[in-house]
Amino acid sequence: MKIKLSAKLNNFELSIDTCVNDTGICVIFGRSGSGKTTLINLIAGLIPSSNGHLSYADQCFYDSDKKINIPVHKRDIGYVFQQARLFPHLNVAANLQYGYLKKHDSDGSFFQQIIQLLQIEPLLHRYPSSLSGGEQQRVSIGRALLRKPKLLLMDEPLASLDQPRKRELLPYLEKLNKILKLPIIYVTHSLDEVLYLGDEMLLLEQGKLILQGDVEFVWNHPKMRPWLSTDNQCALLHASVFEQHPKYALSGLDLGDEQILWVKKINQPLAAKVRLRIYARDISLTLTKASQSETSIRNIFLVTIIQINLQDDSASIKLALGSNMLWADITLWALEALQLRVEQQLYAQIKGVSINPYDWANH
Amino acid sequence: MLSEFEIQAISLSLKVALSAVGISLPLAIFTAWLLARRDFFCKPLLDAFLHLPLVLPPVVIGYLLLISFAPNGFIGEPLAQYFSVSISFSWQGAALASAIVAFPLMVRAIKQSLEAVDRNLEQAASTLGANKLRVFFTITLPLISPGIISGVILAFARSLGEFGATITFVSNIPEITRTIPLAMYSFIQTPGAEYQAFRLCIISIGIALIALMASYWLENNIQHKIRGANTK
Repeated sequence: MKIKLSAKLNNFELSIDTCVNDTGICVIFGRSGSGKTTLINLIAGLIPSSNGHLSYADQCFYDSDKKINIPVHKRDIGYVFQQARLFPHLNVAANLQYGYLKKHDSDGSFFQQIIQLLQIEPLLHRYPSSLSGGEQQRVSIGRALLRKPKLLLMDEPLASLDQPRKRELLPYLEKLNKILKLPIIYVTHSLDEVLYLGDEMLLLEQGKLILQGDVEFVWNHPKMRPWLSTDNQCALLHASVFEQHPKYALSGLDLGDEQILWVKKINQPLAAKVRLRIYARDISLTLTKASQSETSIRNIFLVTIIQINLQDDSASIKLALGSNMLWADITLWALEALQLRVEQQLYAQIKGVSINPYDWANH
Repeated sequence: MLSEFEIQAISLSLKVALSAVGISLPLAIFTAWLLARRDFFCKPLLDAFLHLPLVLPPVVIGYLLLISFAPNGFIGEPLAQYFSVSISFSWQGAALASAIVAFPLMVRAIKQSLEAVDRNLEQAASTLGANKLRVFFTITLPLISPGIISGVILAFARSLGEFGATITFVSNIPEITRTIPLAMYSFIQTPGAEYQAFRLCIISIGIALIALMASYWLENNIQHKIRGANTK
């Protein structure tokens, strides 16, 4: 997808020039007011661009030079808003059918697939006002999908929901992309959702694109540090399930280069790829390696210090572990006592119990 | 129970009021939409002009209609010449006078409900492939239906009670333009007809009550539907 757009809206200027993958989930991340929603509204055609070019696959939606501007209702784009925006005077079935074209689904199998995927069959005859927030959002996703869009835009679809509802909905979102092979552009300011869903990531600030790439690349990039507040600084790692422990509920993850990380059991087949989040506060550093019978720590890796960032009350140490990267937070006292310096080799210890079910996602 | 004279007055009044509401409704919806959704150069002027019948004495409106629809008036003359139609001194004239007097009431009610419609829902409909016309008829119109109903009832009530503009424009002709208020006026003018006047007074109250209850029931029903009644 080619995006080269600029727009001016009361005191706010947005100017983006980039290319986005036509498959997978592309996450647009940034603070509120950074222009995330503006960008996808421009893509949908809900607000007018002042200048530029927008095309998806081989379809041109907007081109200021060629005077092309396809109106919203003719762009093959689905849009899931932050609020479900269900039509209150129509029941769930009628809401779902609003954008549904029977001629594209003569045997009704797509309709069935969607209502099964999102489990909305039991809601069909109810009215939006009687649904919970999570149910409403599921219906609104179904409604957007039934139009058979070529691209799905989602504007913080989970932001208005409470934590349990978010957890309830996340797996559905993951399935959408994988089962329906539908590319998604997903706006969020939640790192949890990035970890769970993102393939590609765009980092926006004040209407400008400041970073773009794989989620791991952007997440671990120094420009991303301000978003990861000191108490939840973390690194993202790629791993694959290597073995399940025969006796304990633990899984061994291969971080590459035969480095095995033991974590709480991950119910995935061997060799399944996962993305893992390790918090900087869960890593401690030691100069000598204790044997496994002397320490409770199961995961001890030889690492190299790449960078030391001093903060007011602590130090963030960036570590290289094979091709992966880790962050460790330690006190200034420890930093001085261990006399750490860049390029020094030492051992990083990671507690196996510190990695929870919400710290990894299938990938 | 009702005398033939009373039945005539009632049916004429209903005919006039219903036609007045019927012809002005589409125009009122369009005008309300213009005022609520569009910005144009002479919008304040249109708004002021529209509210004139609300503040002008009805007799002024009746007089203006009279001179413009008279056989030599600037509307009456071409109307008679090209279509051989004359509406002065006919029930159609009474309907026109009522429609004009009641128009601002109808527009105001519809405009208010249009302004209350959540534009986000219309936006959502357009992302689902609906063009502007479909959005209007499937989303906007159902959502403003309570406003339309209250506008219609208000205008209907105003039309039933129309007196000044009607008597000035189409006069008080028995069987042709003598609606309930005009008939009552005639009885009051006639010595010894107090009883007949009183009967018409009761009939007026009855019609008003029925209309109000009907609107209450209708609005309640529709509100219920829009808010999303659950069928479970």
